Amino acid sequence: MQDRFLIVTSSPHIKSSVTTQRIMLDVLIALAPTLAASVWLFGPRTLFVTGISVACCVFFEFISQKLMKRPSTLYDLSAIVTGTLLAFCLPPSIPLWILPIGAFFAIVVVKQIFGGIGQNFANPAITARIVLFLSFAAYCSDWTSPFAWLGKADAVSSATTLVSSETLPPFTDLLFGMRGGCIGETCAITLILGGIYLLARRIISPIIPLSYIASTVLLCFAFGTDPIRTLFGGGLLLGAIFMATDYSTTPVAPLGKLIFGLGCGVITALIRAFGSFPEGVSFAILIMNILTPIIDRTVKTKPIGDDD
Amino acid sequence: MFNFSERMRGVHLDHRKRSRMNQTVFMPSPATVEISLSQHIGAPCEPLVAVGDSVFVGQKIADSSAFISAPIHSSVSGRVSGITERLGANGRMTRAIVIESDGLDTPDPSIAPPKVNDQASFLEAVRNSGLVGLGGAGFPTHVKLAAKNINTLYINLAECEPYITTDNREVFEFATDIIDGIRTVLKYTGIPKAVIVIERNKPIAAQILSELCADIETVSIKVIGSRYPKGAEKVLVYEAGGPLIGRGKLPADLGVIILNVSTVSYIAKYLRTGMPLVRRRLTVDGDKIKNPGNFSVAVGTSAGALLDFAGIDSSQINMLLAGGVMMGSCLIDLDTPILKNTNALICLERYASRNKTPCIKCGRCIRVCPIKLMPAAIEKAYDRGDVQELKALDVDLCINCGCCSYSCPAKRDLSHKNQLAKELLKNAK
Repeated sequence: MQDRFLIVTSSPHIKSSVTTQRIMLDVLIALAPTLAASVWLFGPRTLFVTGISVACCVFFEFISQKLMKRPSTLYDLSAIVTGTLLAFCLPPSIPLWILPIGAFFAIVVVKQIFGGIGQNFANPAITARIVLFLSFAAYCSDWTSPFAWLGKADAVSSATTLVSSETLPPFTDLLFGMRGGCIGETCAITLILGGIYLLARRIISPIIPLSYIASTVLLCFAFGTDPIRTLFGGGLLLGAIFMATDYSTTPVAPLGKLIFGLGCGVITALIRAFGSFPEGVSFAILIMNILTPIIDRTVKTKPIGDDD
Repeated sequence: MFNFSERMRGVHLDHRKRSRMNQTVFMPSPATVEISLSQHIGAPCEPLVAVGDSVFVGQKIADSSAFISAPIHSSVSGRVSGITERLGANGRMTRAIVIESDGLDTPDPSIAPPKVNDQASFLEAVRNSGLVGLGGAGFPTHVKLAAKNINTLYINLAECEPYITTDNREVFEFATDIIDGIRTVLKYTGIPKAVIVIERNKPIAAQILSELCADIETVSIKVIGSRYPKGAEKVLVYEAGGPLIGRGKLPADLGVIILNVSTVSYIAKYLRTGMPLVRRRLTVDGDKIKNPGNFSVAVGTSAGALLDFAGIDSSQINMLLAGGVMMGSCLIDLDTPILKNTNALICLERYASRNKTPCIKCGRCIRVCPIKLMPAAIEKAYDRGDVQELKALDVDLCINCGCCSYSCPAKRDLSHKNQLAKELLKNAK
């Protein structure tokens, strides 16, 4: 008999370096330029708001997993991603006491109660944002003008650039995010940069962002809205690149992804054109999140060599 | 972009073919060999010798009357000292003949080049040689060659597993045997043409073979991209422009045969010398191995003896694989003997972590699956014992390449579950 033992497992015996943690880190890296842009545009308060939001999400993740006696998954960084995205879709002037409420909804109600990472049926950040918007409409529609923190502009402008009575800022201003809006939705150039990074790292597939953005712009154009306003006026880029590409809550198959993207586009355009809210991105993504299990069940990949 | 095209995907792996430029080293026969009676897919052989018998190199020591089987020959000269049982890499007990070598390596005096003049005598000769697929699967070659109505012979030189270079060395050292072997097979089986399929990461081998078969109309070279698992039969034939081997079909059903390059080369060697398959070349390498190489080893040599000969400190090894890192199986101990179809011994100090985290539905397993299965869904269906769902998910088409497990960020054992699910489905029928 041998005096030493060899390890025996099933194949394969090597694994790629990609981990859930690395994927979430890549998303955070992709979000970082937009956070920096928000500080430049709206002042250091955005950094503070994001920090509090992240801290609340991490806290609720830790506490709920302790109470539910589940192994902690803090290491996978997903709570930090949720916290950042939640802050990104709130206005810069959001009162800080609202953040723990949003974080509670995102992490406890939407994510952990349904079984934690990978099991949630809706995007935690999107759902929390909708809850906050419907509950605290006044605080959540208080749009700070860019550079107001430097005393260069009026402190508050009332409406978003999505409302067509508002004059549209020049194109370059829009590209760099110089308009009122949520913390992380205004700076188009950093959002697109982040999207390109995620595509290059193969974290996301281009199908959802492209089909979502293209269908929204086309439909809104048909309803009489300037494509520039559609694209850069609201939260379409943030939603299409970072929210509608969440793995757990979107279809797996390429065709399913296409249906999801087009569905988001149609709903966003309909809400923007005919709904009582100026913005429809978060509702569109939530509705399509709910439809995702049905899409997944209907659209399956056809295996090669399956002839019956 | 939408991945609607019927491309068989897979993964890019670090090639680690460090041993490809190292000349094959001849390892003298060890003092003892343990020759397994189950060296191939199909029925195990029955011993033809008894304890105490004297044997020569190349003497037939075991055979079977089953159609899918190949005879087994002694790789040393000496005395049969026992017939033992050993837990094989497949988890089943197999019998083995233990032979003490006299150190002389005296060949069997009856060995002579076989007389071949038609298909029947050719197939008979291939069977007598004990040849099985040397690429790893170990399917008896004469059974493959007996198929009727074949239009193309594919020669597999993909060698898509990391580390392994034994087929590449075959081209560097015995290129003319490869071409001779192919022409012989075409001549006696009546197959009209052969295609040598090479992965792009072996340009020198492709160059050598292109020059050799430049004037041969019936043999052509097809270079394909290097992406694991291009060497899997289904993938290889499809990538080379051949038919799609669908559910429950054998390649021969679609008019094709696939032979490994070392297998076809051995046919030429056997017809020239008449020496049955008692030695083979295999790659010895691993993550912390400083002196990788290819070795010509007597069948039945223990893994430990080969490692000692190769100058590898086996105390540093945590995992020892027969075959590649993607599809090879773990050896249980260092005494495990080399089989005819062992194409590599891979020594790993670091092995893949089995710590799994929850599935995040990222879809990477679907993206990399050459068959386009949904491994994450299969895992869930298997865990709840849902046979209907497993059937709907077509798990029976899985080729066990391991791409899903490899690429899973949650490090879930997807391909392992696929195999369990296949068993469950088979037993439920």
